[in-house]
Amino acid sequence: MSCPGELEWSMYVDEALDPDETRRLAAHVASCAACSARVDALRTEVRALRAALAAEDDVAIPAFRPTTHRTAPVGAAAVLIALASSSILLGELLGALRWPESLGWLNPFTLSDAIDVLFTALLFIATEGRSMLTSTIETMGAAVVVVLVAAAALAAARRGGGAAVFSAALAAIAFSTDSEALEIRKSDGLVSVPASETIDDTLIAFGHDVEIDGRVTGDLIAFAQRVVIRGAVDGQVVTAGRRIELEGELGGSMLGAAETIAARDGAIGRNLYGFVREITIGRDVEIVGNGIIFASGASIAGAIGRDVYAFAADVEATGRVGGDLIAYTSSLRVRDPARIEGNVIAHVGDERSVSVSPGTVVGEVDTRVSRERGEERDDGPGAFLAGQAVRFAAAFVTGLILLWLVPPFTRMSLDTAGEVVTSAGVGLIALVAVPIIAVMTAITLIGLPIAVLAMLAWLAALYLAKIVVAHFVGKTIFDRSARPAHFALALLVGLLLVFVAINIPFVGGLFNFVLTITGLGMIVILVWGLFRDRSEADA
Amino acid sequence: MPDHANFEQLYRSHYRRVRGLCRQLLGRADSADDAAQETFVRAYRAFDRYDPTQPFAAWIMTIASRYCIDVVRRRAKEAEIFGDAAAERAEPDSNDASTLDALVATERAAELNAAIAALPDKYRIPLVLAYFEEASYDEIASVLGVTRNHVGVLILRAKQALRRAMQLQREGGSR
Repeated sequence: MSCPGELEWSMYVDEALDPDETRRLAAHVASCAACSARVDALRTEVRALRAALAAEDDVAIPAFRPTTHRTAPVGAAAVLIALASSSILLGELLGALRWPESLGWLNPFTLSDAIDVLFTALLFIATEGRSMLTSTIETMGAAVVVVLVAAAALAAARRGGGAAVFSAALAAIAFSTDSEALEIRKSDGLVSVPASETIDDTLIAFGHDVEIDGRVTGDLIAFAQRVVIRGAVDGQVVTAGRRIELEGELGGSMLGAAETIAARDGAIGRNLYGFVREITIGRDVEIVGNGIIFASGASIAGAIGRDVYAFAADVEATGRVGGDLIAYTSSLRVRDPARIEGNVIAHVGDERSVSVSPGTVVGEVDTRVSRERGEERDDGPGAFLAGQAVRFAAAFVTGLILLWLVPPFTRMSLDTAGEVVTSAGVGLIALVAVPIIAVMTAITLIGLPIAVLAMLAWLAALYLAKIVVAHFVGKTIFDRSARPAHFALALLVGLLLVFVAINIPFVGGLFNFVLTITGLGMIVILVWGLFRDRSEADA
Repeated sequence: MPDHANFEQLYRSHYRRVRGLCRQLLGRADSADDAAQETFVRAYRAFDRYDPTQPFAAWIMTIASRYCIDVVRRRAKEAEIFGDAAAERAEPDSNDASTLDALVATERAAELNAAIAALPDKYRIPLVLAYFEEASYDEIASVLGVTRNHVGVLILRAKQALRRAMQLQREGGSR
């Protein structure tokens, strides 16, 4: 009888074999002197290993610091830098590093702007609420789709094909219509729907190229390097790729994220949402609804039934716009044969960068020059500093009261980079969602008081957001030095740093935004946690 | 519910052993302190979920080993550092009795320890889990995401590598 191998003996000694095998080897040991000696040697060896491993280094036990997280500040800094730099890229995309004036209300240290926004919004709701409702819902739908598309892309990047398809499917459902079923087509090369084919479902297509020559009666969701739609899609189109070409007929809205979108021909039944570097809407294109464009260059020669919102470095309009043309841009040209039925509102840095050919605009041309940061300081540096000092003092006092009244704020921590991102994400959602929900509640009139309260709470949270972050920054610094500090000192140091950061030219606005949404998220998470704890305690 | 005030005491009594596990799993003394601290920070945060009827040592050692394996995995960039059983099978049995006692003959644990630290991650980690954390092959298999038999192969390879290293050292030293 042949002897068992080395692996079996090793596992036998470690008691890691099945009972049957263990019995078989035990019987063998009893009858084979060589193997018996070997088992003894292996046992001795394992004892030697255990002894060697157990030898402890004689190290001093350092003090336990449960609040110190070496990786957190580094990770958080990395995340903030990444956020800031991506915002700078976005800023470049929008054609200006300047913080748009219309977002000035985000600064909690200038509360008057925020109150302006509140009352303007409430007045606006009172007069225009009802007609806004549809577009608000659609905008929310688009926002949900953006989130889901991002989730799908993220999942796809992690090679979770299932999750990607799931998110895409959710996007399909969220983005509308009454499609009954899904058809999914995947390929490394070309995914095509030939002219002769009609798909009676929603189509989800992944490929290097996606070409639609036939008809899709549901929605189309396509991710590819190049997406070409020459046929017809009765529902909505959600697509991301390097290049998107449209020559067909779309029944619903189109949401496209790409390097370039070229619409040469065809029609879009509802709205166009484009997030691109370069977008061209050709002369023969008709968009029934609004055009909402984030791009570095936008050229609009086709016909757009309602309003155009263009956030683009360079905007050229030669087509027909049924409503207003609202542009945040560094260069706007409206040329023959353009015809803008409504008004042209141009938010620019310099009046000279707007050129409108005579006779092209039915309404008014309103050029709004954003104030440069420097112009706010016309009173001289002394007045500027005095103003900042007053704001600083106000923020400090408010912070002291807040931390004194609500002690959990002093124990707040962001342990990992992930939590920073979560907070920022929650903050961003709160920032956007609260006003939208408030507007929708206000429209019902019965909900108006609730909406006003919600908006006031939202404004208060916005104001407190940076104070909370400032205290957290200060606390992190003192925690690192392992010497606990009074919360007032942490707040003071943190506020100083935050004030310096948000007043840095150019990037200050980005810091401001990032800090605000992070703080807002921290407040939301904390308040949520407090309520949950209380309800658990009650139960 | 466990009392956070006791934690400091548990920390003091278990720190050395946790640090030892981290050092053995990571194969490096310099990152062991950080890993041990991180282990206790994680344990502190999860202390509400700790079941006081279970031994604290087992609980904290599980946290430490999970954390260190994550660190090693990240260090190795590729998730599947432990490979599959087929790939490990290629090496022939070394039934040479003269090498079998090489480990035992090593008088100083420090030398053997240095050799363990020098092992490739995929051999060192199952070895440490088996003989330091005293985890069963099944437990190791589930932590590493491999089969029990493959754990056996990895541990055997670890032993073989150590025998060779010790043998070489002895020959080198006697010359």
